[in-house]
Amino acid sequence: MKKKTIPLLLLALVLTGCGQTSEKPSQPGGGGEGSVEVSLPTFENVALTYGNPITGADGTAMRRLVREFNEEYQGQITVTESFMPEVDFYESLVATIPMKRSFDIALIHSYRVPSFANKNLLFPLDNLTASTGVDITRENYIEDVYDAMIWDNKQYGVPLDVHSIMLYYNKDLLAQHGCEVPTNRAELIAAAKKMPQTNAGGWGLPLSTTWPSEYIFTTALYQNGGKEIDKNTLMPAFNNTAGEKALKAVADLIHIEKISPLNVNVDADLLMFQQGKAMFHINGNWMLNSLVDSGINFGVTSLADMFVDTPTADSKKVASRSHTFVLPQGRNETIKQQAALVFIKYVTENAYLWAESGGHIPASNIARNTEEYLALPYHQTYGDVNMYTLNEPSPYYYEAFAPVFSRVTTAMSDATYDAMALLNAAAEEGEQAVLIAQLEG
Amino acid sequence: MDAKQKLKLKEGIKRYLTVAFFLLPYIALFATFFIFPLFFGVYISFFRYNVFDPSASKFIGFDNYKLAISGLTIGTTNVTYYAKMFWGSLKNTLLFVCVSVPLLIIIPIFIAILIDIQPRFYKVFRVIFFLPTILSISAVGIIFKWQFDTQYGFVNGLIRVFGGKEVAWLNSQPYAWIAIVVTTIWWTIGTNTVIIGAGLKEVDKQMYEAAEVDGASYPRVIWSIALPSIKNQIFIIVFTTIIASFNIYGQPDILTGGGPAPSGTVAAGTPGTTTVVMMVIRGLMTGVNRQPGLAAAMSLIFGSFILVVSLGQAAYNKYREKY
Repeated sequence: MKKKTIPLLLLALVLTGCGQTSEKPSQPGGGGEGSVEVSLPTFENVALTYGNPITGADGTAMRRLVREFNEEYQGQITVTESFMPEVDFYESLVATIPMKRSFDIALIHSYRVPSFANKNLLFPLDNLTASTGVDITRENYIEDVYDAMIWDNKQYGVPLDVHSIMLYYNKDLLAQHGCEVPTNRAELIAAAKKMPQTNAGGWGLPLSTTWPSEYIFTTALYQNGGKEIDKNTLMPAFNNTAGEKALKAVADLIHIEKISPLNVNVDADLLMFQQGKAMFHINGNWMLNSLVDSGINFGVTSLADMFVDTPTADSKKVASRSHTFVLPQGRNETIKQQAALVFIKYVTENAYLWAESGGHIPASNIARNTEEYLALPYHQTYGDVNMYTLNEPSPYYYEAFAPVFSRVTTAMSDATYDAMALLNAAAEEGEQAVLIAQLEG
Repeated sequence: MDAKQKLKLKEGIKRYLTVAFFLLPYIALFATFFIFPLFFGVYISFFRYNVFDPSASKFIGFDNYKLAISGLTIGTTNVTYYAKMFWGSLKNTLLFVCVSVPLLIIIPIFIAILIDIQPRFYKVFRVIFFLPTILSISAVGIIFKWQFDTQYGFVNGLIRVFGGKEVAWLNSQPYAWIAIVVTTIWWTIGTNTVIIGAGLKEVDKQMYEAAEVDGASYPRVIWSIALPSIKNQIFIIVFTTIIASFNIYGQPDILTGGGPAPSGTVAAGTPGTTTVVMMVIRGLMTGVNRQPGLAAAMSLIFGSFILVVSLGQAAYNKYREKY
């Protein structure tokens, strides 16, 4: 707690030192000319609303962070949190932001930031962070992740975390078969093959064909030098040799290496691992505590180099996303936006709680250097945080890339799949969806 | 105007105002949630509608309809994806209606007849058959997702016990459709069973006894006396079940997520188990890049199909009442 308290006290000193209150609202549209210089006021009972889609186990940490913030800033800033299922949350944002009735702060997924920004639903942060004295700077975050929140040369989000898929392994089964924790694809397959590959005896690496197969394919795509979209045209860019290699690298684990049963449904793979019937399991870091609760003797490592035969400059990349703080467009009252930045800074820098509860990696360098974070047993085996790679920002990312998900499922289910035909069909759909989405209206 | 006429007028106004007072809440709700959305849907189907700034919406004539029916050329690209998905989804929906509706009529009739015999614990059975109806589709979806699971599912467990090979119920065609139909039957037969059961209860049992005295077998009694006696109830459940089946969304959404593609099919615009309502909601009305105009056009085309079916049923009903 000591590490947490010192920066807070310093921040409080900064806040109370600036007694000037700006009454003029800052301009929507953000950076550049005509922006209004504001300085951080003394906050008096500023009430903020904060919405997020955090309903799982990590919700406990979020609730605690909000509660502790409110205690810390009692009489100054009060944050009221609302949380709801993901679909409802995003629907509520889409419905309420245009009416200027949305939350003062929202936590959204990083890949959605450009699409929201492109529709002018988010308030750009550049001027706000530069002029308020709240020290939210790129240097204090994983820089690539921070940069992934830039759209049209404006910063729209502050990353709370990086979350991704991990390779979980059963320590007992590894020891039983005399295997070490794998560090590359060959070692992974060799160890997995030691299992009997039957439902009764257990499998090497059961892979669900539906989820998180999209994360797995994207990781394989990055590791084979590919990308989901072309950053200039914003069109699909996965129907090429890299995409073909990636799809094969994933599907081969089932059809060629035969270390996974066929047609595994979502969560059945998790169940096999929890029951000690799987040596390895690929799932999100958000499942970490669920696995701890299951009582299984497991470890976790990154998926770096797991989808290539020979390591390359790209082969350590792992596809990731980030929960990101944004300020929805609304009344854009400067005092509230300044208070929101104080809250965002507090939560991102105290994200070790978030990491502990949700298994996530804090995007803030400060949070990752706290004693509490460094003492978390599993997080230290996630590997270098810089390997966790976010997608190229695009307002049409989902339209361009989502059609490939069902093709990955097809490849994982059907041994006779034609990789390039599947990828070309997905790219054709993606291109048409982007064309339609780009039309003005 | 004499006093008597005045009184009559006053009473007439009072009566109409009373009627209007009682009708007003219904009319207000009907207008808000049906009439307005319907006409608004027609209106926006001719626009590239901007939900964030309606004033920026652009009139595009029949382009949304072209996009939904045959495709639209944008730049040098003929965008046929949405048309392929729409027709594929419509085919899926019609297939589901054709397969599920007869089962959702015949099975409840069969169960209702058995319950009508009033065997021991028949009230318990009646509750058991009705109980799934009160569950939400989310709960039903999760239950059946595990029942049909390839490795852990009850169904494959049963198949394995009898020496069979496990089936990828939710991951392959046509098994995914079988799983969806079975789930629908389990979930929805309760209401139809209750309606048919209520009809059978009203049938004079003396007619059964008379027929049996005349030597009619039990199936003949059911066929010639019970079923004709409940033809009105059957007509009602056929009507409501067809409409409900056209609107299928939750079952494929949760069980299969709209997949899987039929084996060997890779072409763009392959809807798997996606239905029209799924296509409209999941495909066009989520995210910030949503296409409400196109979604409205697809809904209206789809609605016209349901309208034709409903008009056919109404015409048949008229004919039935006449003869």
